[in-house]
Amino acid sequence: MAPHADLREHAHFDSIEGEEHMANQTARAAAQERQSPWRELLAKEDWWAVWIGLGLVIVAAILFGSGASLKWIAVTPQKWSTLDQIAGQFGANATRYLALFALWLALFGIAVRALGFRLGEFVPAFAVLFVVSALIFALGAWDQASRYNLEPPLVALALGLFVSNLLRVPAWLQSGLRVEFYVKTGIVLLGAGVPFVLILWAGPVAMGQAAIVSLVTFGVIYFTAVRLGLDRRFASVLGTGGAVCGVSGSIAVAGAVGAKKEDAPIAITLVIFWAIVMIFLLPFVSKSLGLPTGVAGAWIGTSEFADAAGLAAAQTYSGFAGQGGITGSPDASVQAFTLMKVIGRDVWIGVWALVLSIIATTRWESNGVTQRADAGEIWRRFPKFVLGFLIASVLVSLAAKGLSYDAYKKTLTPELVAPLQGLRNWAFTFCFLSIGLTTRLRDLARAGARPFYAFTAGVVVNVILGYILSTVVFVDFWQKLGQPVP
Amino acid sequence: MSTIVSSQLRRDGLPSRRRSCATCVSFRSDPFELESAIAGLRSFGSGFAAVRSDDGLCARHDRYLSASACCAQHELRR
Repeated sequence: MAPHADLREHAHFDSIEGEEHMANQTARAAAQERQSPWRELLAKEDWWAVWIGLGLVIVAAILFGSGASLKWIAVTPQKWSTLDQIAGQFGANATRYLALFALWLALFGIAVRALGFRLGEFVPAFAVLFVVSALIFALGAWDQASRYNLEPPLVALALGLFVSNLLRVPAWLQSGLRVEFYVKTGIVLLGAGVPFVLILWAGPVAMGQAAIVSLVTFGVIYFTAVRLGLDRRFASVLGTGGAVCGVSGSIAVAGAVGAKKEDAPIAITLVIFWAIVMIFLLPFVSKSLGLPTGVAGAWIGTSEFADAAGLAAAQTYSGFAGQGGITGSPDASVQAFTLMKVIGRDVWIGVWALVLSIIATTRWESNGVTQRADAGEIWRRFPKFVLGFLIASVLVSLAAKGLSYDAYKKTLTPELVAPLQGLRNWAFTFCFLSIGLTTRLRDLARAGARPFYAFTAGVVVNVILGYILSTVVFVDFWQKLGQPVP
Repeated sequence: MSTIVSSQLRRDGLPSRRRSCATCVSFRSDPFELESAIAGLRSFGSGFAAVRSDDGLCARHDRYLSASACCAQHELRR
């Protein structure tokens, strides 16, 4: 072998060793990064929603135990009929509103900073979001609001859509518009108002109903898409978007099966389109049919496509309670929705991702990449905020242990549960406003006819089946929701 | 395809998990980048959600992949 060749050989081996060393280092770092529970706990907004929501519940429970309450800071606009009255309310409670703003800003600010956002952009963006949310909240408290269908979720959504699509949302405002973060925080707080015994009682029925609808809807979308000539991976991304949990379902399964780059954006376009249609359609159809709040919430939970959209619809319907013969407590629609959508559908996304990943790897044609499917997928993709919802429910149920029903209603509800409900409503209003402001229809991917037909076939079946299950098959069960549990 | 990948990995002496997309130069999983690249993701979803795990976009295959996936064209990120 010539000397130069020998040197090149050495250099070659050095290069290989160096690369291998670097590969080992990088892989080790990546593996550590991936496996570190601490990183996950601070890098995902699901966990931050748990920390914020549960932190508030724990503080509220401690205050309640010591004879105090969070209600001073959990201020919300009260019913008013003249502008002078609402102006007077804001004036008299200015300190409380400022304190509430500071609380939310501190909690969300710490979280978004940890997620990598710039506080310099988030602070003014959140200030705008808070002020507009307060005005929307106040509008909803107007005693004539229901007469003009000025339900806060719908007003927030419509205003946001108007501004983002016909005007322009400044770039600095974007960092404050975190739809999922706000809705997850709100859902954790919602857990404080749902007795754990109710979850145990209603959870299995919600899971059963959701399983039927999810499997049927997925099947309709998937097989229609394949019949129309679409790729199987794309069909599965569309199917989970329609059947399980909307945008989250599509993006999770797109990664699990190794879908084409353009597949998830198309599925997201269709989810957003139908989710917004359903926000307006489901509450008003339910209202025209006079459905009890629990029944309507179950239907919305079965047939809406995204948590944020469904909560907007369910919260809107809670405002219809008592109008035109609509029975049930206002909160029953939100509770039924949450049980159906979050407990019944969302928690299964990891299982869907794992199963479809195995099918994609073993049954579908290769996409040029080797995907690995393992059971850890179920936990990695598990929507962790659900744990916060359940723990919040357990904590408040423990606080209520031993109290009579009268004591529960006269002390625990106003001093502990109601302030947390007020904070929850703030978080949801931030979310509803953010939905509209982040949805620029012209920026969405063009879906094309075949994906639209396949997804829409699933929507039609989903809505009809969800209606039958909620209003016929399980109607007695959902009607009872919101009533005292024996 | 899996056979080709396996022989390539054996030749390099690196187990396949060390050649996963997570360490590849073509793989992008930063939540900010994904929210910019995937239209509508921020509207009813999030790049920071747990359901997304560590998935990302592969510029080489033009696919949205799990961070644990791998292929014969893996190129180590420096």
